[in-house]
Amino acid sequence: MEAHFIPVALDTYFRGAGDEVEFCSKIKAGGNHMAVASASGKVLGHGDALRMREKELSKALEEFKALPEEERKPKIEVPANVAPPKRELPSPPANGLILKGYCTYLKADEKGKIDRSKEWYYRENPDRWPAETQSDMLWLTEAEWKSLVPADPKKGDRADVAERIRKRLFCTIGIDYMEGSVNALLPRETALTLTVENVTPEAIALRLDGAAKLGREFDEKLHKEKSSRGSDVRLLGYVTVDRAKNAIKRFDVVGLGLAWGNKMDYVHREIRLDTVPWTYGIAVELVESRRPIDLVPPYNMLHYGSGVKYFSE
Amino acid sequence: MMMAALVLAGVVQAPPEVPRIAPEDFTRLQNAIRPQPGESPWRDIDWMTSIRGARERAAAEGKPILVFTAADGSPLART
Repeated sequence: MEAHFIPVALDTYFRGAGDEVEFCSKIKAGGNHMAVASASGKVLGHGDALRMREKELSKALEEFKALPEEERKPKIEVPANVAPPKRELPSPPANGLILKGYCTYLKADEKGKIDRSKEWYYRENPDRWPAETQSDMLWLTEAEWKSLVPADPKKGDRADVAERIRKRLFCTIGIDYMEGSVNALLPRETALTLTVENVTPEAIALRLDGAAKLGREFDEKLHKEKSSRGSDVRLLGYVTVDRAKNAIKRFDVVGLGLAWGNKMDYVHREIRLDTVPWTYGIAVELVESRRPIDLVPPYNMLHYGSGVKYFSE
Repeated sequence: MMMAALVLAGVVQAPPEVPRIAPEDFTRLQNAIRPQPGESPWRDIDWMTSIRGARERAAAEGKPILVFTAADGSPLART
């Protein structure tokens, strides 16, 4: 891909400064969409019908090669007094912790062993496609992650995790977000503790145990109601602190959950599941690189999130 | 206590209990939940997230821009 194209992924909500908005409008980039264009703004390939498939991208590439040099290598000038972004793309907190979450459906076999479950978007449709693992981010401020590190650790010590971290973890990436745009759920009960498992001069090994009840209380009838999501989730995690660097070097969490209800105004699920409640799993891991893809803001920082300020109590 | 009483009275349904995660099952479950090999090839692409930066690079390198957008969050995260 990178050998032939410059790939760019945009959240339409954070489209950028005036020249960037204008360019996106020119090439009709917006919504759930894919487009190929020259840097000058000439749309290539199949236009609105473009998909990330070789035969379609090859056509766009051929069209690009046939363009004159001034279209292929235009001089990019940012106009003077360009309008600033209407909405600034949020940046991770300074010296903060970036964690990446994953979510997928799970199921238990006849012996109770839980494993991945393959589900489909619009499964009755001949053009159905498999539900993909979803991902999201979790940001902690420097003060927040440092609050996880015990000052005088001794094996067996236990401490509660601060409520604001607990809520953010459970309510934003501890839920089933397999249908993507699912707002944070409000907590009914949350518990999260850190236990010191091992201490050496180099490292502190911590175990994270937790459980939460989120959103609406369980009721089988909720499948007919809007905004009726709820879930129960249980977590186990391992955190390692590098004492010399005073830095977290491992933050691995696995969660099992049961979920029910409907997201927002939708009462017809795009991914039909046969059981209520259904089982989902979440995983969380530390992000150490700082590529653009690692700096994508958490979903619930966006305007259409839960309405709760992301870093508030 | 109140909730237990309501559950017993049949006023509120209780969901099944969420299973505990055994430490020896941790890595297996982690691998089952994370993206599977080959599942999402787009995750392996080194995406930019600035259209101006992409235009500048495209012009310098003589390549077209592939723009991937989502209406409701980043296409690189949950949408």
